[in-house]
Amino acid sequence: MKSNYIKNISLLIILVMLLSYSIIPVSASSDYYESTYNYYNYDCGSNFDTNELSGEMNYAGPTKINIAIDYSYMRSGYLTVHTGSAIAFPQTSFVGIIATINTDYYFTSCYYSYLIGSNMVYSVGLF
Amino acid sequence: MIKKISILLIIALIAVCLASCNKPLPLESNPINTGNESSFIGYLNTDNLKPESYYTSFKQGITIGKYLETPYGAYYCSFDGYLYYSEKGNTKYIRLCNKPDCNHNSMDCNAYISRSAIGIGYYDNKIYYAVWNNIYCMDMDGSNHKRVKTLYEGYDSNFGFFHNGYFYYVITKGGCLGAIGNDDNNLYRAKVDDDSKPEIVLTNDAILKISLFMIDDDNIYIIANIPDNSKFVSLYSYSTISKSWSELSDAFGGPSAYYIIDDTGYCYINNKGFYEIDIDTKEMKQMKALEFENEGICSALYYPDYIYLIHCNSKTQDFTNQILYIYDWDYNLIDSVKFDKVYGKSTLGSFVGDIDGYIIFASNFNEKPDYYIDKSEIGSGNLMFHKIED
Repeated sequence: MKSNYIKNISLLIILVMLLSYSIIPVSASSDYYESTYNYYNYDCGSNFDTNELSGEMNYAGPTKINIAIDYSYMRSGYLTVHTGSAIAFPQTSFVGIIATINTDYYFTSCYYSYLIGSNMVYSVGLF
Repeated sequence: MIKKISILLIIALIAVCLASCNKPLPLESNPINTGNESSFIGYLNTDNLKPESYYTSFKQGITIGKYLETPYGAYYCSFDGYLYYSEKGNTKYIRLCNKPDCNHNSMDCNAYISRSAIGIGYYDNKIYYAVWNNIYCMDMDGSNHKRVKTLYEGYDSNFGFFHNGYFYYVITKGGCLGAIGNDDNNLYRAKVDDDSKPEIVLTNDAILKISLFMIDDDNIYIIANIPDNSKFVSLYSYSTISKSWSELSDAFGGPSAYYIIDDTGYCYINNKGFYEIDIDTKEMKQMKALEFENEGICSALYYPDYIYLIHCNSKTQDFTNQILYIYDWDYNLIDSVKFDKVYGKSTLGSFVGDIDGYIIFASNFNEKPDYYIDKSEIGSGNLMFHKIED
């Protein structure tokens, strides 16, 4: 009975080890920040995943808000590091941005900049 | 008596504390000292000048369009948006700013061009750089930043590089190469030093799968991804004279692992080896078989003196353990050296450029280059990375 138990546990450990080698590691992280600007509340949410970047911002004031993202990415199999940037259309109240990359590439890091008018009120780097 | 001595001691201690508060930080520990003492920033050195086209042409690296060799010295754009300068023959890099009273750490610094900078280029005694949909220029000493032209209206992203007085680019509506949402199948170019509008150089659906492109005289060579195939890419050529489009290979090497000049294409294919293709006959030959125990990821960088093969053990982003192999143009391995200066799996750092007698590396692409190889040591049995000291 005991030897069967040890055998099963050993097999389970080997299975977990094998699986851990076969799974490509996926990096994911997120960030949330809230504060006030000109007496109005705002919040910024950032998400980083190796195949998708997203950011969103809410602001209670009347000024237009915007998000810019600067990121690095690589093509599978090669060491080349590309850099890229994207910016959303300025909006009032809510603005969001998203970039989704196909399976030949993956994001390696992203720097998020949150703007109210032309003032950067928050920034964060994720990887 | 004891009381008086105690009071004197306290006064002496206070005096010592106040004196140390006023003492300036030593030069090497001052965080805002970036070493911009050089009066030679942007100074033209006419020794050993190369043809102008050598300086204006795009060169491949691990990064795209971030490093420049010019008649005035070398320029490097870090991922955090600062431009660094190194005098010719001097491996030390400083922020490109001569402004008095500038601490070289703010967006007002002449050296700051933008975290969103796509790349830098040299043409006719000016540095050009692209940010979003605009082209800017500056003098060689980092002063006099000016917007030259707007490439297109709107907020779409682009990918491109400077080459011989033009900025070549593709519009990536989805945000980057390979992004879902890219739908513009044109390759554009814009002249950097006049008021002309950008022009379409080529229209083809291969642009939607583009991984990189390069220009050799009147020919444009495009490498395009093959879906779900990380080993090979397709190689196409387009003649800007005859307007002919041709597929040369569907088993070519990817970005920063190929080079084409004078009707010969060179590439490295992961764990298969070095190949050459005759552009006219489309015949591709293996020149040297090469297989690593751990396939990992690679780049092959073709420079006039040597071919540099950089291999990382990891399948994904991990630059902590990379080896630089140095080959001659007959594919003989001359030397190799480990680059283990990148700390942390989230840090990107590697080869930056090859300039005169040095091979330049950065342990972190967010900062200035900080290591070099002295090329005279290649093959000596004592090849090593030297730290670039401030």
